[in-house]
Amino acid sequence: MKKLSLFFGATVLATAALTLAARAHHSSAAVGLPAPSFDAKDTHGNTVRLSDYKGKFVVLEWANFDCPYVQKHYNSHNMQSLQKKYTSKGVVWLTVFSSPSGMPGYFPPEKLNAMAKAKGMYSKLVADANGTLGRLYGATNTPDMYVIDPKGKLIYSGAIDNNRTPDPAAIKTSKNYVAAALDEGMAGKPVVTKASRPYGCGIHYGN
Amino acid sequence: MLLALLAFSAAHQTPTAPIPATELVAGVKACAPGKPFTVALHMKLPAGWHNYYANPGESGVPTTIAWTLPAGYVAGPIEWPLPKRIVLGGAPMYGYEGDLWLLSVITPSRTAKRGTDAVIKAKADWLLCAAECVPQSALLELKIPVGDRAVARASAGLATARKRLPQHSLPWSVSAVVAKEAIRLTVQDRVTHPVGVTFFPADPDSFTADTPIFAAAKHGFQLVVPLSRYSTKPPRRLTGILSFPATGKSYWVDTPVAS
Repeated sequence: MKKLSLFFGATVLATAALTLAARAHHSSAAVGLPAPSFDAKDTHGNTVRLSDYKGKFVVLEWANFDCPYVQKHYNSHNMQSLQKKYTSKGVVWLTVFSSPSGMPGYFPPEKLNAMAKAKGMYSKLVADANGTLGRLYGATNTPDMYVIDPKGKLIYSGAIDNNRTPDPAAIKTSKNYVAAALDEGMAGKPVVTKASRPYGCGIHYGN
Repeated sequence: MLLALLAFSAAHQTPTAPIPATELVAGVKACAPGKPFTVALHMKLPAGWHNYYANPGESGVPTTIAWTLPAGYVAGPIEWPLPKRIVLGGAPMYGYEGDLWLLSVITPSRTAKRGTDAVIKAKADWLLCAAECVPQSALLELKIPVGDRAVARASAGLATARKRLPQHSLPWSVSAVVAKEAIRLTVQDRVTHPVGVTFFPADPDSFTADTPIFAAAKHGFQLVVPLSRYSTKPPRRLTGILSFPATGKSYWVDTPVAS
């Protein structure tokens, strides 16, 4: 049994090394291909595995509460409304924090939990201060959004919407790409906009 | 009449972010109907902070200027100076630091009335970033008398900025073709010593800030410019700045992309 788990550990490491190498050219997370599997920790210390969500739509949302573009979607309650709407339909929504300790946007897990409560969030928070998950997906901005279908295929990657401004007044007239991908995916239709360039604050990964 | 140069406060920034000194500088003391002149958005970016080129790279937002002009006046696009490749936390970006001059050409109406003042208003929006990012904006205004003839105005800063702009006339022919996950730019140049030559693609929908790969070619050299992973189809034109660090020269490239 011990041997088996060691073997699996080595496989995971090898995969991580490969995907990091691939990142030098293009991200390992490519729309239309299986989303990279991961094994992360939520802000309560519980393990979050992508494989545990087979059969469900999964949204990955990169966030940084110090970022004005993230604040645009939280102060307006836009993000929470999306989280509420889709988690109530069985979607798994993970909000990932990849800011390294000591950098703007980093908050310890217990502080993130308090902030999530104050903001009225409906997602599970993933603590990724070492940037493993962020690098694996090639997340570059906050917000940066990914939608995974029940078969584990990545069906959307990129911006939350088509209005690249920090002004929350623009939300009303924006086309939300994440909602569109989820609605289309749930209806069994192909996703029209599969990728877009994310906009927001850069994620500055640590060493 | 005194030329009004107004520097203005930025809106909705967080208290921790410094506000760059910002002004509009015109290349003329007086303008004339139908005669183009230059207006610069001059910013002194605080040390440690940067803002962005037309193509910001992995993150960031390009600076924009929305002009409000008298009827019949037309403003051209920002003439981007040579950006700098900035890498923060592994993310490559194209931006500017320090003293920044963003030039635009304004063409007065052919029927502009002599003896009046042309009121030139600009709303500039930019994203100022260090480790964190702050969207800022400024409302700026300039009044320029309209006369029979344009009268040049001496501004050393503006003159230097203009001199440093990428040249629009290329001394050799260039071509671009779709390559594997990239656009290959070929420069037919056997004269220039292209040590460190690089290209700053201007189109953010097609490119990030991945470093182009250099290759010697028969009658010059090639730069393979990687496409962004968000690019869904190859661009029809390749635009951007070709820079020769060894000579300090740079050129604005705008060429069709063959498939």
